[in-house]
Amino acid sequence: MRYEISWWQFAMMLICSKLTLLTTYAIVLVGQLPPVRDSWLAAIIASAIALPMIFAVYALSLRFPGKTIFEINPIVLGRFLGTVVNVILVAFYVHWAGITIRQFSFFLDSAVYLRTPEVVFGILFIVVALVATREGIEFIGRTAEIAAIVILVGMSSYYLLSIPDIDIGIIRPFLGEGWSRLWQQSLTPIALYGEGVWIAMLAIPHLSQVKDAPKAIWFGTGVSTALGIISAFLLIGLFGPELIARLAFPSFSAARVVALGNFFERIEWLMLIMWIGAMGVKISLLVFGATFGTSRIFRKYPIRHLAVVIVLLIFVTSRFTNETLSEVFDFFSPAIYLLHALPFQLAPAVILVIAWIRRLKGSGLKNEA
Amino acid sequence: MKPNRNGIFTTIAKLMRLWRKQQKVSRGSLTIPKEELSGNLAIDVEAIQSLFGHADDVIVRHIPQPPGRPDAAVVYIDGLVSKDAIAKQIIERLLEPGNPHDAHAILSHVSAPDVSAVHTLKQVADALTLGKCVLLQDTRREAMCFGMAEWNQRNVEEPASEPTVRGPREGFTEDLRTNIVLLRRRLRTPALRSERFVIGRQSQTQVQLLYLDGIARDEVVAEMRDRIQKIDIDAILDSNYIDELVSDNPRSPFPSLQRTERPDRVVADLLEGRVAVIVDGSPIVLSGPTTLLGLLQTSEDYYLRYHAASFAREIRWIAGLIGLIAPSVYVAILSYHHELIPTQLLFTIAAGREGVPFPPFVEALLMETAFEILREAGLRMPQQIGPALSIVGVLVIGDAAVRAGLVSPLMIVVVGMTAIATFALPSNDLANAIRLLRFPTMVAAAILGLFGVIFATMLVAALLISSRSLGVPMLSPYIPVWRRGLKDAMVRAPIWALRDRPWHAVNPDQIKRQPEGQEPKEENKR
Repeated sequence: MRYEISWWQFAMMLICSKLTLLTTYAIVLVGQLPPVRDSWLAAIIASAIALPMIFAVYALSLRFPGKTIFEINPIVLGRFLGTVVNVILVAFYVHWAGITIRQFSFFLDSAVYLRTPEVVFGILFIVVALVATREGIEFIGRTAEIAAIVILVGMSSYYLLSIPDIDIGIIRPFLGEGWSRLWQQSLTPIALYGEGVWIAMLAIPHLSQVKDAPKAIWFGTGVSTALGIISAFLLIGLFGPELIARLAFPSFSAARVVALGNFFERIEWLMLIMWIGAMGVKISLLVFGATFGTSRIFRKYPIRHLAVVIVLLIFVTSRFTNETLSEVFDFFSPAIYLLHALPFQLAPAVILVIAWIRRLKGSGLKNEA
Repeated sequence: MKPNRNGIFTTIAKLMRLWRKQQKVSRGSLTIPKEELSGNLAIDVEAIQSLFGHADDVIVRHIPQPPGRPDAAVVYIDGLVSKDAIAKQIIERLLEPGNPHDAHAILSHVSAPDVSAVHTLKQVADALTLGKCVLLQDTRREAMCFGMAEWNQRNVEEPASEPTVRGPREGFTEDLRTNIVLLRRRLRTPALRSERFVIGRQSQTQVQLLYLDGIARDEVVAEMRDRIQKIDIDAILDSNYIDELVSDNPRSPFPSLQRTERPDRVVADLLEGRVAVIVDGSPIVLSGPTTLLGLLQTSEDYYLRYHAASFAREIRWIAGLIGLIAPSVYVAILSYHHELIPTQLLFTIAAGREGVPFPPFVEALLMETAFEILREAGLRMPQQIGPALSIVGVLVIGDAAVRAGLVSPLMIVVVGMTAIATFALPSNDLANAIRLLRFPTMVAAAILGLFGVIFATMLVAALLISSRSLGVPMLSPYIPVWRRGLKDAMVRAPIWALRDRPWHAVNPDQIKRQPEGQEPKEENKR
């Protein structure tokens, strides 16, 4: 059966992936603590740098219509080197999935379920990802449609409800701390917005209309950038840079501030509910990427069977990465986060350049997931 | 010399083949032999009687003929045919002096409208079980079958499970022909196609596939036809058999086809390009492809003003959500998230729970189980005892349990709300699925609080997202999004605005249901 997704679903995947880290760890702010007052500009800078990297995947897909990166690599780099790169890409997906599971597990464990072992959340996330991966990318696309809408409605509501508590004065003066600090602040968000690359690598070859990919990239990145800007505004305006440096989960703390009348208060739980779906989508995409890549390396071995093995591998990997919450926070520093993410995010651009130099083009049928 | 290993395997394989053959032979004894009629009346009659194990209700009426004419016999199953019709139209005619002795010539003297010739024992048996009368003649290797079916059947009544305030009151019955008539009376078009299948090795149940030619998507019709043809089972006793055997999601608790007792509902489905399956002996007609939205809609939605219909639809969605998660949210909030409850309300709840010896989860589990037992008992009870049981149930579940300090008053409210909410759902199958999934959701809530509720809800959503009905996504037109379909989804637009049929069921050139400009004009106010 041929699996296809719409541009809208692709856009929703982009939104889900970015908003999860934005709303849990407030990643636009935590790359450098205390954050600069103009952190909202970091979201714009980061997405401006990330967009060309995502569009490189689109260009690659136009050059090799219907082929995934795992099929393009052997064509462009030769069978041996292409397979080696594919193995590295799969390893990245596995590693990144392990890190993401740990990040979200620690978030739930530290922010809410203090007495529940963190591994419980890891297991639950892996179960969701297994179900999603076995169903294929079409299923993940549909889930993203629901999850993104829920998280967007949730975030918009709490942004709106927290407006009365924001002190705009904290954000001024504009560029008061100079470009250098702002640039430093932007490095971690570059890796966040660059996550669109690995989503695009999975989604674009499965789009029902590949020409719609730019629409999805612009829309998905645009919405998440806008929310990144609003989020930075809101958190700086609510807490100020110094207090943010002391808060583990500023977005979660911001939700606590919100109250509607004397009845509707302590809505952080509702926020949590709204975030979980998007978390599931992000982890599912990573697990699907790892499984799909492995399937292509092993001559299209059925994904449904491979998924179990890959999920176990990812779970084991997650147990050996970021073993404490402080390690998770350290991971968000540009030196670690950006260096981990950037090689992977630049890979399609490098492959594109090599294909262009070697004047290679190719076409193929739609892939079967 | 090396031992011949292949020889051992070959022997085992031969033994296996022999065993399978024996299995087939033993299964084959249940099937009717396809032997041709012998042409000897006594032998053929004996063969038919042997086939039915000399059953008392298989009646053989010998009709002696004058010398020079072949003897004849009429065979029928008592209770399935009209004896008067047989006596007047066949036996009397055959006994008349000067009547034709040739079986074909008899046709010009018999007024039965449905006549056919059969040649094998299997065909004779099929004809008899369908309520036909079989005329056998000596020296002839064919038998004539006359449609004389007549048996007691229920009248067309208002369906008990789908009553409406407005709209037609007719419901399907157990009789296939009556059900088709109910549809044909509403759809007076030759485009209504009806294909007959006989399924069930023993039951030989008639199953009818109906669709509107040109409107129904060809792929959907072909898919349904193909799935029905693949069924190989000993008996079809209800339409649920077909539903489970052709389902896209055999392991999902959610139904994959719409079930209804209402002809108007089926007609509306046919007009939207869906296919309908009627099973003889079942008053429940299946239609598909369906969606979750379809399961939450009623035919009454189109008989009310669109404002009221839309409101009712929203209420049903809320009812579905309450039915699924209300007890779980109660358990989660009281066990883990007291801070979510406003202080005043928290005091009220705490006062109510004072003295209750169970944790919220056990309390909820007890009450939900008690309610399910009462509900199940209510279904099985004779009608005369039903009201008494309801009273006892209300007293046990409600007042007595609270007074005994076993449960809190809030728990009663939650269980009551949940029960009422599931009854608000128009599809009994959907309500059953929700009732079933409520329990694991409660367990998840007891273990992980609200996170558990969300996790369980996500799995339910995943189940729905991956579900299909005849290849159509169950969450259509929301997922994947089809904007024009949203006019008749959670909100119903006015009839004049419903210009499109659902894309997933109709042929692409038949999506337009009505032209533009149907909206009443402002000048009509005069």
